[in-house]
Amino acid sequence: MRGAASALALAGFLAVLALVCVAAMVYGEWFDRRLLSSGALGVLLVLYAAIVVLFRKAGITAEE
Amino acid sequence: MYRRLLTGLQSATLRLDVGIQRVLPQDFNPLYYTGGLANLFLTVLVVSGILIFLYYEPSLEGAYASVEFLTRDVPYGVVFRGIHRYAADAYMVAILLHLFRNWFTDRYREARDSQWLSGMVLLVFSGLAGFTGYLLVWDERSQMLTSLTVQALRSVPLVGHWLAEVFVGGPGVSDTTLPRFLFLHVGPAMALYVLLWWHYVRLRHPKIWPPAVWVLFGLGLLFILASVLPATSGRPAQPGASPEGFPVDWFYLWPYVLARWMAPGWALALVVALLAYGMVIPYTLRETPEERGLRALGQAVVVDENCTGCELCYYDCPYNAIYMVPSPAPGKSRAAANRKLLAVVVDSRCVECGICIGACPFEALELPRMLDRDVQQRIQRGAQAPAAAAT
Ligand code: HEM
Ligand code: SF4
Ligand code: SF4
Repeated sequence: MRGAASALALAGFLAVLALVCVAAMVYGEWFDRRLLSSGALGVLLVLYAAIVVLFRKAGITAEE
Repeated sequence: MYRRLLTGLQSATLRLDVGIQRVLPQDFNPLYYTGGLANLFLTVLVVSGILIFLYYEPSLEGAYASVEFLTRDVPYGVVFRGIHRYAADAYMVAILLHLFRNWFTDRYREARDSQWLSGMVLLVFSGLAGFTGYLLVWDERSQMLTSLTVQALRSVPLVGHWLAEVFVGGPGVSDTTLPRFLFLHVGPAMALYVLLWWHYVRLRHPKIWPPAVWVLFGLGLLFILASVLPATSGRPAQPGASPEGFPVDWFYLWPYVLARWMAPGWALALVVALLAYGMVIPYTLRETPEERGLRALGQAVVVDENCTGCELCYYDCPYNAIYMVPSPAPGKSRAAANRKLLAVVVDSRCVECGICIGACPFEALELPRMLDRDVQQRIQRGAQAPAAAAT
């Protein structure tokens, strides 16, 4: 149970980081720094992958 | 010696799985999806390739400039170019992992040779599409690769000059060269999909797509690489110049690294020899069932009187080795009395996996030699038990 709670807490933290990435994407597009936007998109996708793993560890998603 | 090496590699592969599964849930183990990952990166290659193709001009004067235009002036053009390049690398890594994993876990023998052979042809076409991609930019590297390839092809006995002409689209580099390279890039890439049909046709449930976690991670990684290390061209190719060094990309261009130390013809011969060896791998070290002894389970056998024709085994056999045929006569058991269909095992496709035995609710399938083995093991155990009791 404790493991599940900490996995969820970490997933929450990564979700906040993902929001920062969204901000970076918007900033990059607005100020013509497109490599920043696409890099932030890449980090966002990797964060989502980590969140998928953490959800499984927390028991929220089941095996397919 | 070779056999011992393979056994060692097999147990190393399995230990690696155990290690990965300490960290990740079992169904997230990326090594279970190496084929699926190759497919993912191939899809990315096709999509990004189409976007790049919209801007590409296949001519000696225009190619380099069109790639530069895409990289500098088209919004996110540099990102798509980078994604195309890094997806090509990731694709090759995935295929090689797939190849070695299937090799080291013995999944190429007997009935699986069709997958292995189609895999080798996929490898050839993938290598061809990958390598010709580097030519399309028409920078100094492209020029150097072209001249080395022409030298290598010309040194092939009898048909060498003809091959070189086919490659560059004429007696020398001319206006037909870049359209020819474009064809040699896109043609093999399209052929991959026909070959994939051959690759999957014998598999009933191929896992052709990795789980979401790896799709997200793979795509994320490509975006990060394309942004942190943007793809660039070298200096433009100069007519008649012979550039000295060029940066190599190991995944596709390793034969050209060899060509620094040996004549290009020998590097080509080495590649051909390696591929030829790959093609005969399924037929080396073949053992008869007698030689395999207790390890041989024998092909599955249908117990005619028990089969009800329920088709469960037919859906579950991963290798399409079970066919349902109209039943010539009713079965003997009560459940089988009114059957319309009968299961038949195609021996040459059965890999002796035993999955159908678990699928059949009516005890109508067996691996005959497995029964023998079970009996022998029980006898052995029985023989050991009194000895153990005595000590
Ligand atoms: C374009 C590249 C390739 C793709 C996209 C691909 C994809 C796949 C997929 C999706 C499967 C089914 C896996 C499963 O159901 O678990 C598979 C099976 C297989 N592949 Fe590939 N493959 C490629 C290249 C190769 C190569 C180069 C080889 C080796 C020479 C190879 C050998 C095999 C074998 C032996 C199997 C059968 C495995 C088994 O029976 O469990 N493949 N491939
Ligand atoms: S043992 Fe059964 S499931 Fe496995 S390949 Fe043979 S027929 Fe198919
Ligand atoms: S699962 Fe068993 S009973 Fe059903 S068709 Fe196959 S062999 Fe016959």
